Formats: sequence, structure tokens, C-alpha cells
Amino acid sequence: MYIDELMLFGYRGIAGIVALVLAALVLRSNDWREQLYAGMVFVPFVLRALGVK
Amino acid sequence: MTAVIRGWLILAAAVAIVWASGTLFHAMQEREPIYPGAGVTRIAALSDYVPSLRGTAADTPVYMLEGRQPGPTLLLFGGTHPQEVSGVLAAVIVVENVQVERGRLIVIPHSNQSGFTYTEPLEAFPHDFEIPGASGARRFRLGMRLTNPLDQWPDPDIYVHYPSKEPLIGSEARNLNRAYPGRADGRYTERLAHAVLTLARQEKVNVVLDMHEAYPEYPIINMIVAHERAFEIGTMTAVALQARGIAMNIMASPKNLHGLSHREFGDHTQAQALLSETANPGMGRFRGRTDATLIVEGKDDNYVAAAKLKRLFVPFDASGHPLSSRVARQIATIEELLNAYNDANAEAGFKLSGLPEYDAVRTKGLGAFLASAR
Repeated sequence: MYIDELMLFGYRGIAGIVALVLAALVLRSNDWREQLYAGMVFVPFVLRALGVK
Repeated sequence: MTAVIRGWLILAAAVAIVWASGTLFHAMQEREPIYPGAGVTRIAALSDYVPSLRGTAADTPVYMLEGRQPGPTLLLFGGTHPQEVSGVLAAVIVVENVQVERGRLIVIPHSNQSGFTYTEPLEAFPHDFEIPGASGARRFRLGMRLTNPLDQWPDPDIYVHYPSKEPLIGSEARNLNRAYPGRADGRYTERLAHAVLTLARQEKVNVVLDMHEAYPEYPIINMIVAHERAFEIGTMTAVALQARGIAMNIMASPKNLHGLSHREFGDHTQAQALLSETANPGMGRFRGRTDATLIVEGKDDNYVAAAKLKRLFVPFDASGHPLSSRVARQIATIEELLNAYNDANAEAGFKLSGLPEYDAVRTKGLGAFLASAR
């Protein structure tokens, strides 16, 4: 496996972790603004984690 | 509403956006179908010539139209710049209609497959366009001039062409028509260029025609650009087209401008190399609303106004430059180029049938010469 492929999978893994943290924040926060902003930022991180970018 | 219910609703909306954008992204990766006509004797792949391309985005079908009698070989490119759609459509029409009796046509309709998978951000380009036909419409993708950054990234500040060492702006590192002759161990676009050139060498191609488009305010339009070894047949082609009332001029390939097909195929293979350009208002900076209608009908009031101000290099009135006329011009160029090659060479030349007539393509429309979608 090439080093750039390893780096790509590492990048996707990190993006996936961030997406999970954002999803947890959306579900656990009591502030609607925090929930909305976390939901918006969740989208590009999921796309990156799935390789759709 | 409780925070938990609100959270689930926001998350559901975010997932819906992810699904919609993911679906759109994957649709852009799908390759548009081509339905080979009876004249196609074999479908090869670029990776047959350079196996390291197999499984990569750079691999693309190579359509062989071989005559029963041996003769010369024409290599025809569309989609070197996927946004320049008249070349793509002309190549598809050749694949779906032409039968070769003597000689051989090798056609690559999607030369830079990667460029078909995206459109330029912030330019509002449609992703595709439709050509109506008798039994339904055919959909074609509108790509971009350069390799998708997903396949080659990042761009250098300055792209240094190999082997000439000519410096170019960094983004041109993703331009197939600045990458020839390419190299086997280069980046995506250089490897693609190397594969196409390898094909031309191995198949002992006699003539190369790379079909392009440019915007109406660009001086090199309705033009054939010819390498010095192809200048004679290029001039004969232009004269024959002009005699038919099809305004097409000829210019010499600049010797100090590297990476272009007309320069590098001429310098690095045995082929006589030429490039053709038609005028596409959908690519220019003066264009107004950019949608599939502009791509297909080629009408734009801004360009009519620009023509009145003498800012263009082609006539432009309310009838515009429809895609059918631009494709007809490319096909007429192929026809006259084959005639010119036959006239200039004593040995038996090309003989083929099924190439649509210039007037027929303009009047009947492209749909009459495209196979029905299956």
C-alpha cells in the first residue's frame, strides 16, 4: 500500500471521528444554535469520511 | 420542542443533505454510454498499451474501426478537454455510424475521462445536457478542461513541462493538451499523455486529429492547427472546406509552445498531427445564463452585442453557433482531412462510408445520427 493511500485512510478516519463527535453534540446539546451549527458542520465531515469529496 | 427531538430533526436533515450530495457526486462518476455501430471491429482500452493505467480513472475505451483492406490509420480524439463538446459528439457519431472499407480509424471519445467527472466551481455550469432523438433523448456529461483535482492534486505553483522544461501556470499540470509526450512515471495527466502517445506509436498511426473548441473571443477558432509535417494536408483540408463554404482556416503549430498534441505527436511519433477548433459560446467570459440550452443551441445575446462591437473572431448573430453546426464542422473536417491525406499519398488511402454529410447534421440535428439510448 502506498503512503498516500495510508494518509488518505487516516484522513478519512479522523473526519469520521469528528463527524461522530458533531452528531453527539447535535443530540446532547440544549442550545438550538449549537445543535444547528454542529449539524451544518457534520455534513462535510461525513462526506469526507465516506470519500465523497 | 425538547432539545432531543430538535437534535434528531437537525441530524435527519443533515443526513438527507449528505445523501443528496453523495448521490449527485456518484452520478458524476458514471461514464456515459456509447453504442458502437457495425463499423466497430474491436473495443480496446488505453490500459492495453500501458497496463499501469488499468483500474485508474485515466483508463478509457479505444474504439477500433478496421477496414477489410489494409491502409493508413487515423487517430481521432474527442474529450481532451471535456468541456469542448463538439469534439466529443463528433467522435461519438463516428463510432456509432462509420464503417471503414480500407484503412483504419482509432477513436477515443473521452480522452481525459477524469475531466468528465466534475464542473468548475463557481462557474454555474450544468452537469449534463440532452440531445433529442427520434426515440428519446441522449444525455451527455459536460466536463471541464482539466483533470479533476481528485485525481491529481495539488497543483504546483509553476508547471514545468517535460521534457522541454517550458514553464506554465501551475493548473496547466492537469491539462492533457499541455502534457504530451508525457512520461510513464509522471503524475496522472502525464501518465495519460504517455499512454495515448504510446498507442499512436504502437499502432503506427499516420494522422492524428485532436478535436477542440474555444470561446468566440479567442483568435484560434474555426481553425486547423497543423504540425509542419502535416501542414500540406492541413492546408488542403482548409481549402477544401472553404470551397464548400465552411469557413475554416489553417495555422502552423508554434515550435516553441510545448505539450500540445499537434506539436508533440508530430515531434515524437511518425504521425502527421493536427488539431481542430470550433467556436463554443458556452465557454466564453461574455456568456450570459449558462445552462444546457446555451451548450446545445449556442445562442447568447451578449455575444451578439460583442460581435456588433467587433470583439469576436467569428460572426455571431441571433442564430448563434448551435452544437449541431459545430459538430457538423468537425465531421466535415474529418472528411476533408481523409480526402487530403488520400490526395497527398500515392498508396491506397482511406475508404469509408457512413460519415454524415455536413448539411445533413446541421439540418436534421445530432439526434438523427446518434443511436437510441438503451
